[in-house]
Amino acid sequence: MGLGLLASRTLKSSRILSSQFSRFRPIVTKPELQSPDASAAAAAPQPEPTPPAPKKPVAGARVHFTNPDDAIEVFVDGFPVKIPKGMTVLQACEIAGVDIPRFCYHSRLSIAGNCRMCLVEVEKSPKPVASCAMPALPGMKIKTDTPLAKKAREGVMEFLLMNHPLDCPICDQGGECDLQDQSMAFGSDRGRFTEVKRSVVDKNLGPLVKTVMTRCIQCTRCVRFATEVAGVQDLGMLGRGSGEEIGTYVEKLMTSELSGNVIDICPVGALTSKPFAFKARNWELKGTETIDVTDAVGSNIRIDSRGPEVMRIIPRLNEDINEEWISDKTRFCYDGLKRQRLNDPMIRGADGRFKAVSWRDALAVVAEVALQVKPEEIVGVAGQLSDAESMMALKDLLNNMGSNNVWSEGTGTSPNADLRYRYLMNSSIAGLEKADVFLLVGTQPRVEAAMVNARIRKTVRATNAKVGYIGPPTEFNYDCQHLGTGPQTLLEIAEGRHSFCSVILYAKNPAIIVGAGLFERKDKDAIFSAVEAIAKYGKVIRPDWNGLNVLLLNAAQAAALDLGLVPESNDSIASAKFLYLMGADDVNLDKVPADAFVVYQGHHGDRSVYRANVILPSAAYTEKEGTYENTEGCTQQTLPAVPTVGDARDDWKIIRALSEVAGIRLPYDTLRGIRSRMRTVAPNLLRMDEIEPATFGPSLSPDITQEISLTPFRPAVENFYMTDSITRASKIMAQCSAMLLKE
Amino acid sequence: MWLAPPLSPAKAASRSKDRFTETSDNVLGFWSLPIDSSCTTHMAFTLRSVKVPSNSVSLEEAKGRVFDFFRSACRSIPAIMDIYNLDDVVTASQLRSTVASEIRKNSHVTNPKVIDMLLFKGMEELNNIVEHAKQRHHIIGQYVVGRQGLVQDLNTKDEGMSDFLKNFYKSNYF
Ligand code: SF4
Ligand code: FES
Repeated sequence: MGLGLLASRTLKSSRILSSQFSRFRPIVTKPELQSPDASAAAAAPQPEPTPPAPKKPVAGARVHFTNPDDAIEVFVDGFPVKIPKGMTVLQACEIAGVDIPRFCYHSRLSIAGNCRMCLVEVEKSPKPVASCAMPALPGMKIKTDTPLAKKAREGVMEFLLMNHPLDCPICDQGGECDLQDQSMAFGSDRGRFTEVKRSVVDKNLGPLVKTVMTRCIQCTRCVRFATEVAGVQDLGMLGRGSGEEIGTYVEKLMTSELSGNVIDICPVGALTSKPFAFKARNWELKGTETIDVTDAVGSNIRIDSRGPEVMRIIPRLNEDINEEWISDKTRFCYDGLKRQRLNDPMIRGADGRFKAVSWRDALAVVAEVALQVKPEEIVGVAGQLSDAESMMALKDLLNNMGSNNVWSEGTGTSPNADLRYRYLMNSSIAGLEKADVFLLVGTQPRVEAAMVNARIRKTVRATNAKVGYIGPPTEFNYDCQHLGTGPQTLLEIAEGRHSFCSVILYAKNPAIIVGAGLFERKDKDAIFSAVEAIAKYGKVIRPDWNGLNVLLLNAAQAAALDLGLVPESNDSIASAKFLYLMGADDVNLDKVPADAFVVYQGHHGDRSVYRANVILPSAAYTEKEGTYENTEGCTQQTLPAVPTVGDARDDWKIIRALSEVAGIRLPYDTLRGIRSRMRTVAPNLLRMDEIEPATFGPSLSPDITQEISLTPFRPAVENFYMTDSITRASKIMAQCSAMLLKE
Repeated sequence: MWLAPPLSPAKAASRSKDRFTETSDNVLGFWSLPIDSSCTTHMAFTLRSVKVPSNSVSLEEAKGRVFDFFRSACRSIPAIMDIYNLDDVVTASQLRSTVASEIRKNSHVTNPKVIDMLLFKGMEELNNIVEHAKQRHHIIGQYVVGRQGLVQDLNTKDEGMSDFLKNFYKSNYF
């Protein structure tokens, strides 16, 4: 009571003062914060309030005790918590359920300890301590809510805001800015700074990241992210004191496939998204938790949309797949969803031009042609962005018509769909962290699956794992031994003639990663048997460790192989009379006969549309509910974030409707129905967010008598930024490939 | 969906002038019909003299009134086409058949009281249209394009089609 009175009296007097001497605005902080001792004394006579019940850990933080003896006990605001040795004070507080304000600390980056926002009081220490950098010691008594801690935070906020511009109204971070939030929660209600604020020249980091460097609070998160996670030494801290700046040392763009993540980790609006600049406010966006399909990783993302428009894509936490990062392609491809879209069914007229027609007419034409050709001349190809449901429907439709020539792009000729371990990442993405030797065969993970590459880099950094690489020269962002360019080297290792053999032999958990680009090679079976030979003598496959991995390229691949989308004959496309392309833009259509009838069902007017006779517009991954299986065999689902464009329909619905028009009606009307059909073929596609490990071991594989050809491996992905119809339609991705891939 | 550019003010003024002349002679047949006066309080001049109609005593009388109504509606169609500038989207005969089909929709009604009520509603609607109480898109939406919306590819093959396909042709969301 006494405190409240005192405070209100001070407030009153200060108001009078300020009206009298308005030129000298007196700064009055809360009086009890002025002298902690006095306030403590004032508070002392009051009866001790009963402590509130212990809180839940922040954000569901969990403690993992590797060794029970290592547990120590500390007290946070009077509550005892058990934590493993080596945790910092800040982590201990988190487990106790107390959220400590912070700017520079980030759980996935090294500790810098330079913002001082996380100051807490520790009993018997003379000064408040920076909790993020202080290891917790047994019996430590941490106080997070004392007047001293509050005053320390208020002081830090005041210093930070000294040089921070007052441009929240025009700042894209507004509404999701740590500085804004924490100054509301912990800052003083006025500042004492009357000098001129400093300003910093903006840096050009390329087409993705916009910089307003005056807003930077020098937390160095971005620098640490670039050097530690992204593995590029592009960003750094220049100058000292108030001249301190973040920048690229020389005029240089940030050339990393993960550069977009600095937007998320920057606590203020210094680094924001260039394509999103001034487009929307974050509170007017609707978030949809879905997954990404631009590569085979299946990164978890949130699509922020406003009305019918995707405004931005940001990552979602999933420790097993993408942690909390996503690649630039995932993040910035969304503007491709607004360009080149197909929105009406179209038929190519006699003059070679497309004419928009109704669904009724389009389906009638397709059905009529399909019923006239011979069953073995019907061919279907599923594109790299197809969901499992539509691939199931396509396969059922073509099988009902009597054709068995249906496959998915990128799986090559006669893929091995029976042996599941032969096309999955068996050690799982998170499991790669256990490996201590990597052998990359014909794969460039940095461009094929940036998140897998980040995992490998994390492992290399943490455990000094060795990496050997066979393939065309390429860039790595970790130490890597380039062993050779082709099957020659692979054979040498398989036969034990190579120096890398001993590295594999002495490794505890060796991991072999084979690129899915090899699927396209004629001698892929021989290559796989060589890889399996290495796996055998290197003890890569054991009951407790399966290090034989295939890194797929496309989101649709794993599910397609699970569903058995395997072509019956190798060059069926050359004899096709009726070709059904379901979003397939990367098949080679040169061999398609001139009189073949080509149906293109898809969402973008990309490569295959040039050859199509009929276009059936379908929904993109942001607009439909679909099941995807990622490269490790984990099934996930997309959810519609925005409505479909124009008169487009979901892929599986188109096929279901076509089947009825053609008189071979498929027996499912709903997603549920088609999923129960999928259950009979590949039950794992219904177990969401679960990894279904492959069961068969290599011992079951048939003997291979194929001759290995000595042509060197070729890169599977030419341009990281443009790999599918969405990214090829995206202007931002085009800018990236023009500026960042120059060299 | 504008099929013709909006009227210029001058044109609109001249049109509204001949609207009054039209209503005063051409539509008179319609106005002389017995109509409940309570509905006409705000539509002033033309209907001041009409009396509340007595209920039809028999089905025959009700039927006769329906024909009267249809005739008066047909007579006002040229005026309506002029007021709302409908010449380039529809013909008079199409509008006539729309009116007829609207009436036929209720062909199952046999209770004279209900017919009287429906007639009353119909006259109210007709009155509103002739009074220019509506705008062009109302007329086009309701009587030219029809309730099914713009896409009307009705096909005789539709019978025997599954609900899925019917919904599929309508929209992606079902
Ligand atoms: S730019 Fe952002 S992340 Fe980088 S140091 Fe400045 S405030 Fe921190
Ligand atoms: S979070 Fe501890 S010093 Fe920045």
